[in-house]
Amino acid sequence: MSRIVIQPVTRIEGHAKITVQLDDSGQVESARFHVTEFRGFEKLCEGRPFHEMPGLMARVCGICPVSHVLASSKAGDMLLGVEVPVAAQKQRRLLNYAQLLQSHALSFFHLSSPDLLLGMDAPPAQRNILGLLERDPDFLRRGIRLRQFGQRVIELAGGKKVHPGWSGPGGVHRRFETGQRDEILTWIPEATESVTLALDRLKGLLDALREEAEHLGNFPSLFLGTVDADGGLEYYEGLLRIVDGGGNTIAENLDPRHYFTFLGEASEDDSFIKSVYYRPFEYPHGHYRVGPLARLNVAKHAGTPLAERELREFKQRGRGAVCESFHYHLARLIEMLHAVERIGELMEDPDLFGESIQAKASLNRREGVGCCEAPRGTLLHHYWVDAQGLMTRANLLIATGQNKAAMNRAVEQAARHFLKTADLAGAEPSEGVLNRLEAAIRCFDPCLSCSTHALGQMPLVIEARGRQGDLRWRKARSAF
Amino acid sequence: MAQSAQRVLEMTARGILVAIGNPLRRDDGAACRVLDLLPQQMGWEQRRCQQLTPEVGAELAAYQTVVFLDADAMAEQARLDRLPDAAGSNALSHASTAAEVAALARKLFGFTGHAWLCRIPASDFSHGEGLSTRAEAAARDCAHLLQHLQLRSPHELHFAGKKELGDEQAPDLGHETDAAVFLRDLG
Repeated sequence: MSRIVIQPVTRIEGHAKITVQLDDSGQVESARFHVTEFRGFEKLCEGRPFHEMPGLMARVCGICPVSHVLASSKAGDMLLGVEVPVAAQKQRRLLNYAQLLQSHALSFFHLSSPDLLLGMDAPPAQRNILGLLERDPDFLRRGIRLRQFGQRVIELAGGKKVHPGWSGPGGVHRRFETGQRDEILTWIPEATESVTLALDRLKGLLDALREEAEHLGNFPSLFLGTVDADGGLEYYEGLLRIVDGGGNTIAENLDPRHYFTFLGEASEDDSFIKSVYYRPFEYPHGHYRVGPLARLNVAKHAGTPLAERELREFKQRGRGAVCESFHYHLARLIEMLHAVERIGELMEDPDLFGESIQAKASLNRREGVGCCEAPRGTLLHHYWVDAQGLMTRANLLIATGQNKAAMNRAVEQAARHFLKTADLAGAEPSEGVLNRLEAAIRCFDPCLSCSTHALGQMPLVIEARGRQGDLRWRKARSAF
Repeated sequence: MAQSAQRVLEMTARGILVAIGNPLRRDDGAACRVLDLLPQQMGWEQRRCQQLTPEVGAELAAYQTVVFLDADAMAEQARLDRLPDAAGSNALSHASTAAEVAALARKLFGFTGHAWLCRIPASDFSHGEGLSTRAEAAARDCAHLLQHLQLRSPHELHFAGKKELGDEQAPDLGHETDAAVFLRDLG
């Protein structure tokens, strides 16, 4: 029996490895995706005042800090027992859309489009944004500008592009000004055109990528996401809905504040990410997908005209639900279009400029849950505090953790298909084949920096080995 | 001298210093330290980023000169290097190099100026604040280098080297100093 190890997996956020186990006849026996990072924020925040959490939790990630700020702020809102002023809610929505836009732009244009436009088999030295610079500079420029737009909105409203500390329990800390609106409005036409062009470009490539679409994580599963009261796309406030691979509703009107009644978590021996599952289906059968593909599957409509048209066309690609993980890329672009439309709408909304931006109160609850849709999927922050408002415990449900089982399955499917067709008898798999295994992961756009926080929930083994590889000592802990 | 000084005035009138690094990873914050050491009346704009990304390139077109500053574990002494117009790439990383960002800025966003990389010798990249003794000394050298190269105001020009300035505190950068090359290339 032999192993093929790909480490690190390239063009994703964070560090991971893929292990493919071959049997004696050279066929794929199994494949796994391992997360080799550990962050530990659930432990780090113990003893800290809950008011500090948005600022602390923003540091979980440099790609999606706004999502953590929002989920944390909403958990704090619940601890205070307040109703956040409308202007603050609108600002939070604005930055959530801006973050969605910039994160998806990074994922599609910088990390995934080299595969899609230059080809999965292109040499690694060229299969990157500098390769795109030579092949299609206008495409790359538009992608950079889209990310720049999202970051600029965050900077204008939140004060800085990365780790903005503008939101906290009860509301936000700064008013939104009309001058900021005027600048943002100048970006809208270009952003709309750029996303539309990217959508047309990707749709034009799908025929040539049919094999990848069919074998990089194509399987039925549950899908979970937030919807509004009408069942439409929703990213800040709403109820959770779960559908199956046929688009049938499994559960809806689920209050995310009671997530623990319908979602369970499990640790695994070979990875620092927790796996999450739908309790009624039990572990491991209750795994589900979150993120752009899931959100478009659970939503009945988009609510903005251009995205609405794209969503209807998207849904025709599946039988009830679109199950190909490859179509995360398409879903991501549709969400970008929706985000640009929503940002434009908010600029015309007088409520955004309201003077009241903060509701003040003392601690009224000892437990709070905040939920929002992060770029990669549903994000939950659950806090427990003592009578002085100091954190006693935190639980984070991260999107990438919720997708972990699906990523494992995608890697295994990709390995079984593409390695089977490669000549493994005495030869190494080609770079293109190994890239396709990585591409299976990139469909999910995992953010591994966010996903590794549970301490003491999985056996942690530390080994000390001498220069010759001999084991000197080994320590294993089951809890801290 | 007056003619080349005038050309330097024109070329460096719009310059930007881009400090790369994380101040919470000790010597990785050396570039930010250099900016902290520069007097406020330098006249150049400043940016601080923990990581270079392609979006930084989108901002460079408005400038005639960009100097990237970065801590460098391989550098033996503070140095200022001209960046090539084209750049290779690190396929494994989502962070860009200074050369890549400059290349993107030229090809995509109309940057036509000069791009330089100021390498600051560093050794300790562990978690924490503050620089090692070596990196602190190197940061001061770099600040001196930049200070004597750049404009304090549109009407002043300073050159590197102890002889020209009579400044015993200035680093002795030798005959064909990077500073001299910097100025010659600008002309």
